[in-house]
Amino acid sequence: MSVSDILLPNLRELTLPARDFARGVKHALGHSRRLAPVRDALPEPLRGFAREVASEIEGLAGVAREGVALLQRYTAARFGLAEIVVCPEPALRFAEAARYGLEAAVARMGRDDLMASATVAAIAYRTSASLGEPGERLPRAAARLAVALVQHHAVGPAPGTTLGLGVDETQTAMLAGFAVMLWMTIERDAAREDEAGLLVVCIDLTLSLAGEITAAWMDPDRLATLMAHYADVV
Amino acid sequence: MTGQALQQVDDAALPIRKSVRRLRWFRTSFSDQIDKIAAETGVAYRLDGQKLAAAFLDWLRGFEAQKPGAPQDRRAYVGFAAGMMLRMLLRHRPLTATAQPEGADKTNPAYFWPEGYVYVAYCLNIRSAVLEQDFHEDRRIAPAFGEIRNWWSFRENVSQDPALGVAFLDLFAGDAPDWVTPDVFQSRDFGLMAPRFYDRRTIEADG
Repeated sequence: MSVSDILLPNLRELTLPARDFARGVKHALGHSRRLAPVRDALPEPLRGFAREVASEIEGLAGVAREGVALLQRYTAARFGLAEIVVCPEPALRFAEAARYGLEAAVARMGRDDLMASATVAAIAYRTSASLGEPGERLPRAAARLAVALVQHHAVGPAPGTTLGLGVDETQTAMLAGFAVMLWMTIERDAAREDEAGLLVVCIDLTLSLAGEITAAWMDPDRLATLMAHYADVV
Repeated sequence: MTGQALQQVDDAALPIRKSVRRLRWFRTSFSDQIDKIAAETGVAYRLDGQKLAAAFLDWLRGFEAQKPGAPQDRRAYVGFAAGMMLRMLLRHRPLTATAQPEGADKTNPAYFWPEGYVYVAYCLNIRSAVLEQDFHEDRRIAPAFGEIRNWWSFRENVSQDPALGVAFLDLFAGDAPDWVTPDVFQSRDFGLMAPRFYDRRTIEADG
């Protein structure tokens, strides 16, 4: 892999930041208590303008939701890491699946205030060395990607930055990262599996293993072993 | 009603004894059991997926830890493993009954203890399905399953010691319960070895 491969996203990946932006603004308008007084204090012409902007963003977010619905209709193999690493645009596919999974995970943990970024997930994928190299075991790659997602802050109050990231948020991001990578690692029967249900199973299992996972986080071998073992269990 | 609640749990992809060791199958089949009993009884339930996963993991660890090597123990281990599953469900309590029909008959186990009823029904169902599939045994439940006095005792005892769930599941299934060390699997090998060490009268008196 050359340096330019790592640093330059392809053109299709450039849609990711735009989608992240649209979703981010909508999220902030919907969730930020701090913005509420500002919205209320705006004089009417500006408040109307803000409503229009919010409406436009709602439309954009609708497009993003359609994207998620589309994801749900893809074949099960679409979410399998084994398929992703050998497809023509692995970072793009990884980013879409990771963002969908991370947001489902934080929502299940009651942290609707946290967001996930497909852009940052794509960067995490691209900068995670030796992915897809011959001979590497899938659970090891998955464990490293889980760590990369957290290191790049793919999930948080402001993804891609350390803004608002405390101990709780970091712990939530670690568990979300593990859950999503577990989901991508498990074997699938494309004809039978309910992807949303599988993701929930992986999240719930991860939450019941929280202590074990956080204790192993800094040890790549141990984390890979956990990933392999629990992928078999699921 | 009790018999109708014990529908067969089957999935043709793998033998049930193997499927049940996968969390995704366990969760789906447990949810199906809840749905069936809810439809029959009108009781509404809420399932905590995280607690269910924790119960499953504890059960799986226990299952692997005590799994016997001798082929003659396989049949007995099916019953024991189902009992251990009940024990872990009772310990983690993943289910909450959120509503019951008005005027529900509390002498019916399904209304006396709705959560416990689902746990027992599910474990009996899994046990029966494996015994039928692997050992060609007919499905059966003992009359003890429908007797409310057993359920009074069951609920009171397992609230203090969930391990007794293993013995109660044997009782409900019509097998002989081990009330002393219910959560320790007794190999049939012990029965075969016993005459070497004990007088025959001692063994017979012990039952």
